[in-house]
Order: sequence, then structure tokens, then C-alpha cells
Amino acid sequence: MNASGRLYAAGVYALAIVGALCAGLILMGERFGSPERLDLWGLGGAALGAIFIVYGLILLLLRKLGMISTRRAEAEDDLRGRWTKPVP
Amino acid sequence: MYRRALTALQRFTLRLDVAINRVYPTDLNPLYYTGGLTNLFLFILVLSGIFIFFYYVPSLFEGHASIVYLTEQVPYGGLIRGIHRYSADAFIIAALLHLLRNWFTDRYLFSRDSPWISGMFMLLLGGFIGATGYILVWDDRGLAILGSFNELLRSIPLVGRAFADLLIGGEGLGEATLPRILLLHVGPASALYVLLWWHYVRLRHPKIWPPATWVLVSLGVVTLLAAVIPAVSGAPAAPGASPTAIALDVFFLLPFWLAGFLPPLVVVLSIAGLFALGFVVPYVNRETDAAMGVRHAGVAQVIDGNCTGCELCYYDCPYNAIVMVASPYQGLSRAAASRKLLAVVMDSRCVECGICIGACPFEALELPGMLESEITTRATQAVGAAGAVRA
Amino acid sequence: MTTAGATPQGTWAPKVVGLVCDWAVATSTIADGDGRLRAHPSVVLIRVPCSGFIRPSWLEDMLKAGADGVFVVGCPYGDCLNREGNYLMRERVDQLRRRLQRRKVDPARLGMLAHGLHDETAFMADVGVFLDRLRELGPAAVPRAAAPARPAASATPGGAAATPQAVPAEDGGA
Repeated sequence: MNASGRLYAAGVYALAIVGALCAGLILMGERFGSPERLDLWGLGGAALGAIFIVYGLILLLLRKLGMISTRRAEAEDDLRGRWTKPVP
Repeated sequence: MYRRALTALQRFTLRLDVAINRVYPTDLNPLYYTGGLTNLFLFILVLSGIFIFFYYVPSLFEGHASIVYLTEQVPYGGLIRGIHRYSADAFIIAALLHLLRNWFTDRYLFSRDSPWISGMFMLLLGGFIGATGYILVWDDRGLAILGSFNELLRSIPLVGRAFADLLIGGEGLGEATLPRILLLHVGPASALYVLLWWHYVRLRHPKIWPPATWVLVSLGVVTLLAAVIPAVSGAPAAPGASPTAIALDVFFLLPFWLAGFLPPLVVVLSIAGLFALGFVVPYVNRETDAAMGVRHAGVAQVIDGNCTGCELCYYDCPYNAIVMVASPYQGLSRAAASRKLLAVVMDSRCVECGICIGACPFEALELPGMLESEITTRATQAVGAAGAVRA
Repeated sequence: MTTAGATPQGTWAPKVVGLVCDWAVATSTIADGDGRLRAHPSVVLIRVPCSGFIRPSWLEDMLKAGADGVFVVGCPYGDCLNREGNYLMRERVDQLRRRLQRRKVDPARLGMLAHGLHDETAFMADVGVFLDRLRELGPAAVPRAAAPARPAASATPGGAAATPQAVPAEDGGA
């Protein structure tokens, strides 16, 4: 894996940790918050939004690593070899 | 002048693409999915709207209170309300980006005026739906907007009064008003899906949804915004109270702000004029026919004698411009002699792209302005002549 | 002029034909009026309405006629002006490469690129890589005197679909 690939992989791990922290926040809120779920809903909503964003960015980084792709078409590079990783 | 400006804008748009494509793989470039993003936000609006609908009471006395109850007393009710609010803005932003991108990159020519015209109607309806949404909250801003809307409609000669009465459900503000506004909010939102059908009907495999990355990021952004900047109602609407300064949503409420210091008929005519110009766009070609060159090579022609009815062109045409009909007579070549189907090109839908020519293995399609013989001659010349060049 | 197209100096320039979609990379600044690239004069470009317009049989015929390499340039994936042309062409090119392998034509001589209207720099870089690869592969084999006619084109009226007889490279050029 080359330098940019390592950067993307590090990014995936970092984002996964952030996502896990947000999930932990939500779980803690459910455990320790009031039964009506009304206090600190802003924090819960922010954690939820952050989880969505983090998942989307993880998918983007995985795509740049060449590990997932929607179409075989653009991941193949005729000139430099049958399969190029990572995708530019 | 218009043409030169448009060409410059196209250059800007495509150079922006080159920059964006350095960061993202090209098929994840968000600007290629502006239509899908608009649809995504519409979907989020419908789902959050259904949730809100269960709590909203369209009455002069309970309208405001029901929304406040939803925001403060229902678990995550405030979050869903905020998602609804911010998705509406995001919907308009995405729709405008979609409009601008397709305008600047010539994607409205020939039969592609169909999605353009339906899109302009959707933009108009979308703006209207947003304005009614603000009224439904029935706070001081909602009342001010309703009053302003009423005034704008009444300024239209002849029919204005009738429209205004339709809007507020009678001669003046009454118990019929908010149910009417609610109908005008939900009904056109459903009509949007009918217009969306028209928008897609000439396209094969329309890009309805953005890629997963952008679905998640967009949903996350509106949720985050809804949590960090909660959507709140103002003071309950009090007809007769003196108007105070109200916070403005620039995407939906601009006409009402303008109505604050311009004569209402001027505002109405400006909006009408803007949309009228919008409807004309697909019919003003940016380039002359000659400048379009190979992109205007004539409608694809089926060479009946060769067509074997294999349907490959039918499957490949991105605009559904080819139909297969029962073959009325037999073809001339051996492969075509026993055909059951014949391909027919519908001239009104053909955009002269030539993809069907590439799909046909039996040489049964040609573009009049770029025949196969021309390609092979030029290629032969190129192969021959290229050999004579020094390195 | 020998089949290899060797110049008196001995350096050999691969004969390449490029079919460029009119909405893909703009070539007015990098090619002259005949479509010949200024930086690599042995590369000739032909502009077509859409990359999806190209019939795979033309690419095969060009290779059989003596071209050392052939490439197709389409719009960036996701931004075809006609929405699907470049994806369709990509699939046709893949299919053609498998067919070429069976017919003993080197599929590495066929390439497909995707570049936007203002992407001249990246396009020229890709052309350079393609030419390097062709130089490694060497000149194309001498084409046969008469290519067999394709079965479907046996009785075409009007002669609009001319079966191109392979033009031996000896005839071309000075």
C-alpha cells in the first residue's frame, strides 16, 4: 500500500472510532437519560447525524482504497494495468 | 451575448469538475448527482412530514401549540421537525444546483426539453410548498407571510381576488384557513411525484438516488443541523398585532421580503417573468448548428434491410427513442430475412448521440452526418498517413 | 515506407488512431486541423458525437489495418452528456478485448480513456503512457491482404456499410 493508501486507511480507522464514540454517547443517553427522552435531545441528534456522516465518509475512503466499487468500469485502468488500486 | 455568457459558465462548470475529480472518484462526484440529491431530500421531507402530520392540528387556536408540543414534548420530535426544516432548504439548494448544472452543460437540447420543463414546474411548486410550510407553523412569521401572500395574490388583476380567497379558504382569515393551507402544502407535494414521473419518462436508467456515500452524508448533515440549530417557532400568531422583524429563510421567503418594499404587482410580475425565461431556456441553443459539428449529425436512421430485430439498440438508447415493432416485411440480408421485430427510431426523442450505431452489430443504423464509410475512410487515412511521420 | 513505419533515424513512432467523443477532452489546442496531435504526430484523432457511437468492429478493423494502437476517449464516468454512453462503450471495449485475444490480436493495443472537456493535461499524460506501452509491444503484425467479410454485411443495400478491406501499411504514406 502506498503513502496515500496508508493515509486513507488511517482515516477509516479514525472515523470508525469517532462513530463508535457517537454510538456510545447515544447508548449512554438511553441508559442514563430520562424515560421521556427529552433532555439533551440535541446531543443525541448531533451524535446520530455524526454517525451518518462518518459512515458516508468511511465508504468514500474505502472507495478510494479500491476496496469497494460500484462499477468495474472505472476501477480498471487500461494503460497502467488491469486493475489499479487505489482509485484516483 | 447570452451564448457567450453560457459558454463561459460551461467552461467554469467543467473546470470545477476537473478540480473536484482530483479528490473524488468521478462517479462519486456529488455534482453528477444533483438530481438524485434533490430526490433524496424530497423523500426525507415526505417521511418527516408524515411524522409531523400526525401531531399537527390545523386550527387557528391549536396550530402553534401543536407544533410546540411536537418540538418539546415528543421524544425526538424536535429533531424530526428540524430535519424537515433543513431538508427543505437542502431540497431547494440541490434543485438549483441541478438546474444550473444542466443548463450550463447543454443537457436540455432536443427531446431533453421534457425533463427541463417538468423541472421548472417542480421548482415553482417546491417554492410554493415551502412558503405554505412556514405559514402552517402559525407563529408571527407565518402570519406575516400569509398576509404578504394574500396581498401579492390580490394585486393580480381580474383573477387575483379569487386566488387569494382560494389560499385563505374564504373571504378572510377563519377556521377554514389552516386546513386549506395544509391541503395546499400536502397536495402539491404529492403532485411533485407526478411531475417527477414526467421528468423521468424520457430517460432510461435515470439516476434517481445518489451513491450511498452521499445519501449517508446528506442525511447526516441535516440531522446534525437539526440537532445543533433547533428549529423553533416564534410567538403565536396574533392577528391585529403590529408586525415585528422576522427571521428570513432566503430560499422560500425572498418574494415576501421583497414585497415589504416593492409594489406587490411588481414582485408577482418579476417572479412570473423569471419563470417564463426559465421555460424558454431549452429552445435557445447555445451554439449554432454548424458549431455543434458532430454532435448535430442528424437523427439516427434505421437501415431496414439489415435490421435483424436483435433489440440491442433498443436496450442501449438512453432516451427510449427506439421502439421495436412487429416486422411488417422481411429484411434483405440473410440475417435480416427471418426477423420478427424491426427497430424504429422516434425522431422526436432522438438526440443524435449515435449510441445505437455503436450498439448495432448488423450495420442497420447510421447517422446521416457521420456515416460508417466516413469513419473507416478517415481511419484508413490516419493509419496510412501516421506511418509517414517521423517520431 | 516499411510496414514498421520506421523513420530514417531508426526511432519508431507507433501509429495510433484515437476516437474522441466531442464532449470529452477538447483537442483544438493540442491537435491540428487534421486531428494530428502536436506533441505526438503519429497519433491521429477523429471526433465522434458520443463515445457510445463507436462500433467495436471499427476498432478491430483499424487494428487489423495496421494501426499499432487504437484508443477511445469518453467523458468522465458519471458525466456522459448522453448519460450512459461511456459506460456502454466501456463494456463494449471489454468485450472486444476478449474477442481480440481469441483472434490473436494483442488486446493491450486497445485502450479506453475518460477525460472531461478541460482535462487536456491528464489526457496527454495518458496518451504518453499508452505510447510507451505500444513502444514496448513493438509494431503491429503485417495485416493480411484481404480481411474476410463479416457475415451480417453480406447483402447490404446502398453500400452504405462498406466492409473496409485491410489497407496494407505499405501503401500508406510517402
